[in-house]
Amino acid sequence: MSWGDMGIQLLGGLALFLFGMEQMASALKSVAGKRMKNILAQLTANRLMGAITGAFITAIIQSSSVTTVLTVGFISAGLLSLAQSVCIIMGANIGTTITAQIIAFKITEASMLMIALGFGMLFFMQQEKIKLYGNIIMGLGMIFFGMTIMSSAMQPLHDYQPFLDLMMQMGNPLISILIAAAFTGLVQSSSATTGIIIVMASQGFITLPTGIALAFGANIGTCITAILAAIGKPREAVRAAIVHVLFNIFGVLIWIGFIDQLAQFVTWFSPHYETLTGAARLAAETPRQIANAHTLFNIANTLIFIGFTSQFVRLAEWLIPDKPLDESRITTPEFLDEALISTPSLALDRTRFEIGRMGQQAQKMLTQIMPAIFTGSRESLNRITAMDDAIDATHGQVITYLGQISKQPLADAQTQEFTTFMEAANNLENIGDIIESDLAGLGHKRLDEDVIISKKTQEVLINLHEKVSETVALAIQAVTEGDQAAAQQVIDMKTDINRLADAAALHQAKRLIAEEPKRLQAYTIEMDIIEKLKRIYYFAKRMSKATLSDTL
Amino acid sequence: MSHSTPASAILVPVDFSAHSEEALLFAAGLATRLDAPLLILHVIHDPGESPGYYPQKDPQHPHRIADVAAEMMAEFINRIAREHPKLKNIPHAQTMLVTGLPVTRILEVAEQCNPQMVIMGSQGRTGLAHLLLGSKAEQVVRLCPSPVTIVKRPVSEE
Repeated sequence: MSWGDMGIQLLGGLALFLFGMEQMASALKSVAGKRMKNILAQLTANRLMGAITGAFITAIIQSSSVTTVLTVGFISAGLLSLAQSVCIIMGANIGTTITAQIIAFKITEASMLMIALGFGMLFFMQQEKIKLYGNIIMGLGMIFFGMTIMSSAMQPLHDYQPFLDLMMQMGNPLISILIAAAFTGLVQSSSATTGIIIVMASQGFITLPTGIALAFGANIGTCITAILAAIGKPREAVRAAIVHVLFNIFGVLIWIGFIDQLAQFVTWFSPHYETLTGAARLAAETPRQIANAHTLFNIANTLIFIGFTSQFVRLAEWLIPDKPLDESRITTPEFLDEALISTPSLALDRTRFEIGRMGQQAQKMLTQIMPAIFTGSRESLNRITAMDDAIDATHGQVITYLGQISKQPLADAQTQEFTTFMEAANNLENIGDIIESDLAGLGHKRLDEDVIISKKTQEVLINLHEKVSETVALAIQAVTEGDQAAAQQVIDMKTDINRLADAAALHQAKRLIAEEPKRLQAYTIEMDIIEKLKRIYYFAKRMSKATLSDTL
Repeated sequence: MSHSTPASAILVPVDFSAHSEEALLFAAGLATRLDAPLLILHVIHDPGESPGYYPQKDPQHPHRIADVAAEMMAEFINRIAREHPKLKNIPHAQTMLVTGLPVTRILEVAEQCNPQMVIMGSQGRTGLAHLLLGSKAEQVVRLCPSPVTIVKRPVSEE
């Protein structure tokens, strides 16, 4: 085999391996994403439970970086505290070792069967869940197939002395740690690195101590993803990423002097193949030994450090101090986290929160607009107009975020949720615009023309306004809480709204003949207010209808 | 920061503990006598040594920690107001919730609101606990620009 062929095979094998991991992780996230969120959100104060949760979630999604990214996201959303997150992060390191354990089974012979079976489930089955499971099996098959290709590509290196010399250099643990950390940072997956370590071990290229040192490096390199996810996030979230780094670096520092002892210990309890000798025995035994050392090292670190979580928190708080108190975050999205895009169920949840925030802004504008139209100053009207800037900004951010989500594979239920949120964001923006330009404009008109709106007319209009405000609140509740009853109530309130609007219009018509100055101008403004309020109800109704069609 | 507090206010940082309740009662009494407004501050911070300080009532539908803290603050003040009806300034006190590190935030609020006095409770940690966890009250006393009074819960009630 030429060097070119070998390089192509290695790269192709690595590409298949990484693609398989990506496909498997993506399907696992779709299957378990929602459940993971609930598990994280239900965390109690118990440290051990936190660690077990972190390990469990990571074992399912096969990535400690994703668990930390999720944790960082939950902290940013204000649902989880740094103190609660430390144990989850510690547990995540245990969970991630499951991948190495699975890979060490070396069921490469079954890889083709897994790919065929997964493909069959993916393309011939109708049920979405079975398709996702097909994706998982096919992804796992591709991981093993990629490993087989890489192994066969490396075969000629057995006789190539410069490569064997290079491998000898890896005997220095510091070099191994640095190489593995850099590679893991590059591919952003410690499991990928451990997979490759196991391939190399199965070829007999690396010894157990070198394999362990490389696994240590993978633990450090994996922190880069969490750090990237924490950039621009609230301080508490940045601290969680820092805790991840500190924990993984301290863990390696503790063990770096005991690699040989750890190697001896795992050799003692890992399976032995007495019938084999030399390189063949090394190749058969080392992968499992590396996987076991990786698991043992991470369990031991969690047990060692779990008693020091408060010290980790304090150190992170010392390293990352608070920002000054008066920071304004008015138009910054609070919940939309780019790192969660690849997990649509969580990203959609974030959108729900953000729409809730957008809804609060719209409600605030709606509450303040009537007094401003009736008796307010230009300044008060301008203040309300300015509030729409925040809604417009959030609307833009939500739509962009939804656009990114739509590029991900979505389950049917998620597609419906996506449509509801898109509709809700647009309708809330429309409501904001009506208040900003139309209703505030009527307030300015009242001031321009020096019109006085009588107390009785104000009462009639307020009745209608209150009812419309109620429908907007219910529509927001329907979207943000998935409350079908609230959505139905909005639709059922159509008769009430029409009745109140008709009553208000009749009142205006009767007052048209009243002996008051500028009666006609007042009539025009009042009728316009009724029209705009009806228009706001129309958008609340559209939001609610989109929620109801969710369940159809 | 939009909060504008008269210079004569008494600032009471609370963590909803028995110690801070004692401090609030003392501050409310003093504020009544001095005819000074009362500003009750809670810094939202889940302590590393006891995570889960803000428990979720319904774990199936978790609320934001800041919302739970706001609810705890309202319950704390309402309960004390109910139990001590003579202290009429407690239910009308200005309240403030900020997120961050307690000592940093208390000092920042004190700098911005310029209270005539800061009154707070102290857990009175000693020995190893004091060495490892320190005392927030002690740091506030050392660094606060305003006068600080530390209220200790009577020994019999500890």
